[in-house]
Amino acid sequence: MRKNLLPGPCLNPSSWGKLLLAAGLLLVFVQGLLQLYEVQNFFSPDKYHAIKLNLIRKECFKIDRGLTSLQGQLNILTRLQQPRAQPDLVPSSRPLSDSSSLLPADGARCYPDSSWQAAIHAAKKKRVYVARKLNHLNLILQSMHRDLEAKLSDIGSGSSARKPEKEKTLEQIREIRAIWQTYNDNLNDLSIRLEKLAECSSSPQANTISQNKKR
Amino acid sequence: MIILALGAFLLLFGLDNRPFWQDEAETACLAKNVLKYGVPRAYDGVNLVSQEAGNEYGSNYLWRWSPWLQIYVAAAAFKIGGLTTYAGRFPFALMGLACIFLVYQLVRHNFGDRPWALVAAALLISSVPFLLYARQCRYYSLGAFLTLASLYAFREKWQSRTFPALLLCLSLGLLFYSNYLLFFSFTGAALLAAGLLYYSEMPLARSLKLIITVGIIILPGLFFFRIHQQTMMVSQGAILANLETYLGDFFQFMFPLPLAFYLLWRWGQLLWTRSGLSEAPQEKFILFLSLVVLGNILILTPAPQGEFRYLVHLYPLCAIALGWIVCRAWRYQKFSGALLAVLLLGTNWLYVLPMDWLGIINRPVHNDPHMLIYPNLPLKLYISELSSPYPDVSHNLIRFFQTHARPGETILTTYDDLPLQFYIPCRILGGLGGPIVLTQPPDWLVLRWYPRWNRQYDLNESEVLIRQLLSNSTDYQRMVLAGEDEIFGNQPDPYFHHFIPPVESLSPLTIYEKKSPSRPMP
Repeated sequence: MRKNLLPGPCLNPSSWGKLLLAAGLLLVFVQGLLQLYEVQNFFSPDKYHAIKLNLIRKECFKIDRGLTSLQGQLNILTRLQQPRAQPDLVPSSRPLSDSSSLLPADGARCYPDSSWQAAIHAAKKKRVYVARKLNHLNLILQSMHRDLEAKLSDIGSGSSARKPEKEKTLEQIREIRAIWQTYNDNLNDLSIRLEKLAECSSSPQANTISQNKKR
Repeated sequence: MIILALGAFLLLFGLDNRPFWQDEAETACLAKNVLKYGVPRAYDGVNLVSQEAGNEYGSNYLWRWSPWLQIYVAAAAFKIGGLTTYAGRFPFALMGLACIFLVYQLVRHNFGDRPWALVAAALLISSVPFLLYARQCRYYSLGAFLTLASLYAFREKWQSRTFPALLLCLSLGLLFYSNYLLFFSFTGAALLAAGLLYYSEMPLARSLKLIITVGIIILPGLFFFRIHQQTMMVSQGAILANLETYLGDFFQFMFPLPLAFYLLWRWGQLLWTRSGLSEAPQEKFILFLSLVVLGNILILTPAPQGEFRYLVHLYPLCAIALGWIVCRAWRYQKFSGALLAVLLLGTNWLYVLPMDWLGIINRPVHNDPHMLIYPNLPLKLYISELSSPYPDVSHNLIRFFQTHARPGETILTTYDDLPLQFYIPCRILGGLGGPIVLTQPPDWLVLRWYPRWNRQYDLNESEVLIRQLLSNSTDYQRMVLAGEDEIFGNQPDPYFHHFIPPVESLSPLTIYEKKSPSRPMP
């Protein structure tokens, strides 16, 4: 006979299921209640800024990833551009690959015009993705900065328990704004590179290549 | 009756609190032109309706981008109720109300389970995103209503009786003319799911007849609405991104992830133990609905834009499935059943928190805590919007030009050109439309802080033109309005819908007025 080691009534699987279900739902209920903005604001008024900063850091990570990806796309396009600028390297008789993937440099000679356009399109899409995020982030950071400065000036020179926390948040915002500036400069440089590449694709030389291919 | 009365209040009260936003205004402007020309023309002699760089119409300006049913519904409402915001939204809100009734009726009539029917209907009226979409002058509630009507007909004896068969064909045909994306995704998924689960109830000859009839109904539209041209926008690279978007949105706003896992576990267990699906018609129907929803999402993924609005017609299906789960939980353990009902009816915690814990929640940085992506009491937010509506960006723009611009003046704007076209007797240029021909400098410029790019990922022509006009000239005087320059006005998308003014002020609305000695300063 099996001995029950735990005190209390022995629960069968169905009772365990009921208990787990109720506990899970209660957990969601309590967590939801505690995470309501009004409740959070009541207990810790600076919590919202902390959450927002966390989201901003995540956004910065996405921007960074976007910029790296855009840089990679432009590097490939630049490598592909060199053979494009030399029409004699692309024999018109040579069959063209239908592959739409980005090819390495040694495959660049047979890079089809539609794929070039698709790659330019993809790079432009990525640029807009990053630009949108940067634009939005800039305004959010400015707004938070304004807001915190106003609150700090309200507190003034008087001592407040929340002043150091606000100053710390303000400092973090300043740091993120400096990172934002780096990202923005980086995007501007990449945008100029992309525009040059796109111009090249619509230049007469590029048109000659595409006409050769059509023949 | 109480649920319907509550639904009527939530759907019809303060329907015109906020003006049309850009997409609604597209339908409204075209409906206005229907009253004038009998057909939806994009050009009324002064203004041009376009959000796709002028690709939506032919040489005669006849609208060929999207189906006409929603436009004619709005036109009929304008004919009866006048050219007002309330009239434009009213028939669509009524369709939303009809959805609540149909959800109740579908469950009650087919399964005789009154508590399930009541819970499902209550869940639908407490779905704030559904309410927001149903209050739009747009196809959303029409799509949901026709989806439900087709399901209702499908559960009747369409195999032998004429009326259900006719209703099935008509509802599917009309769904196409509401929005063909909804038609293809829903019909494709429903056909597959029905073939899988209800094959024994689908006589081949009759089924083929119905399919052919629906095909004949939609055939003219297939050619007229340039579907082929729009399929060119399909990008294989977007499929995975769209799938991620749709599934994320689905679990965040329509069907809580833990409950989806419960269904998967339940049906997976049945499959694993080979005990087979319970022959109970209720559970079979829930599995059918789940497959329809899943298939719908999968079929939608190659569509060019992964937008939450393409899932709105699935809300009633989700309400039915969630209602079934609540009733099962209640029968299993009353406390859990009641708690689950409270969580689903009054909060969004079961949707948002588990995704938060798993770190897979989509919480854009521009959102604030009074939006549906944060743990909230959605109905409280919704009722605060109904009871004390705030003037959104479209409202502020419209009000400004109603008091400051003179009829016939020209306004060039980067966005919200269509609401201005509907409400202001001026010549409105710009927005997301095609090439802009200026014979003289516009009297007013509106440069919104949120830049808009076209499908080629270049800045829209209106953006470029306004920046040029402002950089080369000192002829314009800058005016900063008190209101916030939000990205959208009354946009129902949970990622953009503000129930109360945004917590943070990002940028004020800025307007430029042409300096002219003959024009009195406001």
